[in-house]
Amino acid sequence: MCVQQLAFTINSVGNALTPGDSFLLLRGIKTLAVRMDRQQANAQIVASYLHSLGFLVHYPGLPDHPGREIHQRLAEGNGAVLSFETGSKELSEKIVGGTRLWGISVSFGCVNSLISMPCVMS
Amino acid sequence: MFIFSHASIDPATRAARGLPEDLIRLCVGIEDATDLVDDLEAALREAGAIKYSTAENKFILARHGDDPISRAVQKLALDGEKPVPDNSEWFVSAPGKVILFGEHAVVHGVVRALHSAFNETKFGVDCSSGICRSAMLRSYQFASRWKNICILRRH
Repeated sequence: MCVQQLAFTINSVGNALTPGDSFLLLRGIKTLAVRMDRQQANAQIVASYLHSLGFLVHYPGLPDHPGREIHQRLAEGNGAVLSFETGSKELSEKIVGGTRLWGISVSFGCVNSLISMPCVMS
Repeated sequence: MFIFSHASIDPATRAARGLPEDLIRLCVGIEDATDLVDDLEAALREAGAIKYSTAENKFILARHGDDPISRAVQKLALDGEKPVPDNSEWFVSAPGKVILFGEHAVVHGVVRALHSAFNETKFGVDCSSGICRSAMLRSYQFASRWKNICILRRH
């Protein structure tokens, strides 16, 4: 296989990590379980809090989540991502703009908490 | 260069697939849970999504349009409805004040203004009918008029 074909595959699949990226990935794997435990516990607390206020919250860890049984068959934990609806796009924008600890960013999986509006931002 | 995923799908398709416009997504990190909830609560409160209920001693969902600003906006009828004409008289007062220097600069936060208070309270009446008619105005004499507002001076 010539170099161009290899380069095309690597570029499209995205498995071209530099040695520095590889080092970070290997180091991150060692703490992945601990981080996931903490993130999932936090997500459960945040989701339960919003649910108790009365928002419509989407999180597999909540008892009224549709498809919860399927999720529990496939995964051990409930993940670190949740979403909720406020009923008003303007209100959601104000909420997203008003947080200080939750960073506004289109990303997930990192150790810092993030908030975003997928329909407007992502 | 940003790569948009959800935003590149048109709104009709988004609605059909059940992706609401007001959806907020939270990706939770490893910070202290109390800090995260506190920050979220502060943002919800500042945005007007929740309000403190003294009866239940906790935060509850605020109904949309229930806050004082929304009610005031509804009264102003900014959404096209004709406002109800108000023929009542409004009696107001304010201490006499003069800005000696820098009023506009204060607005822009650049310099401090120098202002002084008069030893005289100004009274005003807003009468939409154009004529000041009120029993409690007997101790005041007419000083000047601006549109429908009469500035009065106490005898």
